[in-house]
Amino acid sequence: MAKHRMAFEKAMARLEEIVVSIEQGEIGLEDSIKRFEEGMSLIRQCRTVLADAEMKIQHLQASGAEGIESVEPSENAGT
Amino acid sequence: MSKTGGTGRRPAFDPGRVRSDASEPGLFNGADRGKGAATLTVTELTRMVGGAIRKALPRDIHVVGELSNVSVPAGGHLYFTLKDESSEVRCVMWRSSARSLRFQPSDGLEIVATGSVDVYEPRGQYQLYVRRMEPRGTGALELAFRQLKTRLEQEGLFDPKRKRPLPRFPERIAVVTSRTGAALRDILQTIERRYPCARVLVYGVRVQGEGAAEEVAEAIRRINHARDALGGVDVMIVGRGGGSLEDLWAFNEEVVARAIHTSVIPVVSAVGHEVDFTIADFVADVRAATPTAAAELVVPVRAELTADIDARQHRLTRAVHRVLETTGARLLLVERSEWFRDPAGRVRRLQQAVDEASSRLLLAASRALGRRRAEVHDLEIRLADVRPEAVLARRREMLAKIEHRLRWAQGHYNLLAERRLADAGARLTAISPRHSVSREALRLDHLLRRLARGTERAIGDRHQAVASLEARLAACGHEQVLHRGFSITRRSKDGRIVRRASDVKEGDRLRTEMSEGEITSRTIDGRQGELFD
Repeated sequence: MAKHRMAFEKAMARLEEIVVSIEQGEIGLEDSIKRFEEGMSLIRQCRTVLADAEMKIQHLQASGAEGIESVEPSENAGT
Repeated sequence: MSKTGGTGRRPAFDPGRVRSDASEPGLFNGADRGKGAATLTVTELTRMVGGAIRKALPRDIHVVGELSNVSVPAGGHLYFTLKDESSEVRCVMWRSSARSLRFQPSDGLEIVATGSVDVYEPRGQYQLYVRRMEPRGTGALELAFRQLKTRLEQEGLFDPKRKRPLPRFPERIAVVTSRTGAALRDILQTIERRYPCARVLVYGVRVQGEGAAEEVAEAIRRINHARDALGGVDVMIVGRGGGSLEDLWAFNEEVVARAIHTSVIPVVSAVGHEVDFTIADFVADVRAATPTAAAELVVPVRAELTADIDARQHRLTRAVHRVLETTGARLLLVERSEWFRDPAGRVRRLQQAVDEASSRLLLAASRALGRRRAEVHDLEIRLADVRPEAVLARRREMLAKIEHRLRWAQGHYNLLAERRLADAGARLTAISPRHSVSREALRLDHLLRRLARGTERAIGDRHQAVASLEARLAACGHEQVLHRGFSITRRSKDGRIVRRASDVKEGDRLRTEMSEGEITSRTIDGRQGELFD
């Protein structure tokens, strides 16, 4: 899951990098097209993350010496 | 130091002024009346004084003064002196009481101490045994707040350089607050509205009252400890709704400040309403004025993100199209360039240059070679001339010539000699008689032969002459003419040769003689001078 988040951060950063590199036109045609495809796939990825619309709430309870017990599933307590 | 100990001096505390009858009989009579009924030990005296004090003074005494000589030895008891401009008193605050102090007693602090007075026997010194202490002027909590703030600030806990940026796109957000408070509701609503793709982990704690600070601190520590087990926690909101200073106090406690300070996960503090600042706010990576503000700081607005991604997609597409266009244009340029229109042209020109160079090179080389060859040839010839075989051959040739001439000369000589010999022989033969006889016979013979030959020739000549005449005669006769195709025509009546047409009349009979035979004919027509002219 943390990977997922990292993917979003990284995807956005990488996407920006790709757009800028193509805009500046400093790379060749083949590279441009390769990066374009990569960019489009990153866009799809980001959209998928954002489309995951339902907020999930997890309640935590202190347990034992080691850590945390999570209580799931959780009804949306806030609303 | 001791104001009560000195004998002969009037004690600072005069038991005689206390409105109590001596409950310990005979205690003071000696000192007061000047004659020693009984001599007291120092201990006895001290005990007497202590007792008198306990009797004389109320249990709760409130004393205002300035703190000095504050010390807290390892045992945890608090020792200090309380003083004003002209006096001072030793004070003790036992650990059990000192522990509940919210502020830090320090020198110079003006306080109101509440406690009772007694004598410390080992030193014979009266002391104030303090049970409670309040800063004078400001409240204890406020003072405690200021003191903790100053201390933690000096320790560097509020250092702006320590503040970490919040993740831009948190996936997991931990919230440490009361499970039933409005703060949690505000946070959850805000996140749901802005960024519903997040997951929220709620760790319910008590946020006020005894032990609340410890619970909050423990929650922060546990979430940090278990963050991997929870699948990664990107950011943490710690807070509660607004309230009085007393209500918010847990967030001013050092345990909470320390827990936030050691948190690996970035912490957003969200305590109370706009104006309330807590110690937690100073330590946190980001301070939010309210729980709602905290949620807004923590999550982006999904709609904006989507728009941002749309814009990037647009830029990406446009950029790649531009690349395609410019590349296409470059390609076109290249296609139109001379290289592509006539790729062989350049090669041909280069080829030509190469050919030219190579032929010049060949020419030069062959010239040089020719010169060398001529030189070598020349040398060869000259060398051949002086070669031993050549010299030998020349010698041999000369020798052969000489030999030949020698031979020829010898042959010639022999021939001459032979000829002279033959000559002499012949001359000798000519003069012998046998020879002249045979010569005469030969001559006779010869003459005979000449005679026979002459006769023969004369006869032959005559025969020849006759034959010639005969032939000439034959050639002149008419038979010869007839034989050549001519004919002779005669008039039949008289036998006269017809020489002209007029010799003949129409109807005359004619006889024509030919080489062989004759024809008889009749004249039909005759024209003069035309036919036989």
